[in-house]
Amino acid sequence: MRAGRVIGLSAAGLACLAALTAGLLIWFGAWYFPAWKLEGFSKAQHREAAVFAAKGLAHAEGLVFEDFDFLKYRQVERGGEAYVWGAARCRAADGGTEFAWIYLEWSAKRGQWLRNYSLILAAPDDEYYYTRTHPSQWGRARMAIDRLLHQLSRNVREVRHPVPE
Amino acid sequence: MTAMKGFTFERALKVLVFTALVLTVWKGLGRTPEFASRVTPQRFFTGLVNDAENSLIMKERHLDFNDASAKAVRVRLEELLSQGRTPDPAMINEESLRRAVNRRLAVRERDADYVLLAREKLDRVRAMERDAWRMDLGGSCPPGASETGSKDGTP
Repeated sequence: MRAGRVIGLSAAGLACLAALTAGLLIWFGAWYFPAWKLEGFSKAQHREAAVFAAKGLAHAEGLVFEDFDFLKYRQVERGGEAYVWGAARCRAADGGTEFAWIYLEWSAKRGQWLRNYSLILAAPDDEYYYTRTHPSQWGRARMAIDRLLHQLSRNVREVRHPVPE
Repeated sequence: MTAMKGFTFERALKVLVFTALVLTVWKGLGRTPEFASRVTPQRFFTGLVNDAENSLIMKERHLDFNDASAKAVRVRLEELLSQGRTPDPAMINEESLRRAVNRRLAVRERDADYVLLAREKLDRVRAMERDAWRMDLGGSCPPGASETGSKDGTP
């Protein structure tokens, strides 16, 4: 009876902890980080917003942002949607070139630009390099999870250690 | 009890259920092209055009993403050949880079087609609005004819 109560309580505690962690991750990934420090840019300041997002991503990846290889702004004629995307050319510490994909969407609801799907292009864990047998199924699963965790830790790093002005 | 006879709980429930039914029918009717293209044509075509515009932008973005990643792979190959630079020798070597470039080129054909299809769809929707297209009330589409095809039968 007593042991069952302890088990039940710890199970409930663990479930609460898991729910709290999941909620925190969703809040950070879907609400807080996409908007972080992009409040000041108007819809017309899409280039400035994209440069700011690119500098932050490059800094969190240990790269130096140089310039956009190309940057496109598109908006619909009917409705309020607007998008800006491009490839940012960055310099690595060893002098090599890295490209970062930057993609922002205008949110009519929140009235600001939001980060959306930004990453380092052709990164070593990219599935472009997969063959039929390498990596194995387990290797693929592990790389996919590592990729997600890498993006999450990069986003957290970007917020905790912002680009020095 | 006699005072409550005109408005009992059951009667209130019935009214509520009936209202919900009417609302459901009305909302569902508003979603059919037969109704929407006649009663609220402006709203109907705005929705169609907005959808097609967003699709076209999305397909263009997917093509750009493919091209940008193809370029990133190509630059990696150049830097590997000229400087011996590779971030991860297990995954990134000359063979895997050449294969990745070829894959991007193959995917590019498909993505470029998707852009053409999305542009055609947008043009078609705009033409429907210009011609004040209305959904046929008969409900029967002639076999082989597309519902958005032009009047002479060509799709």
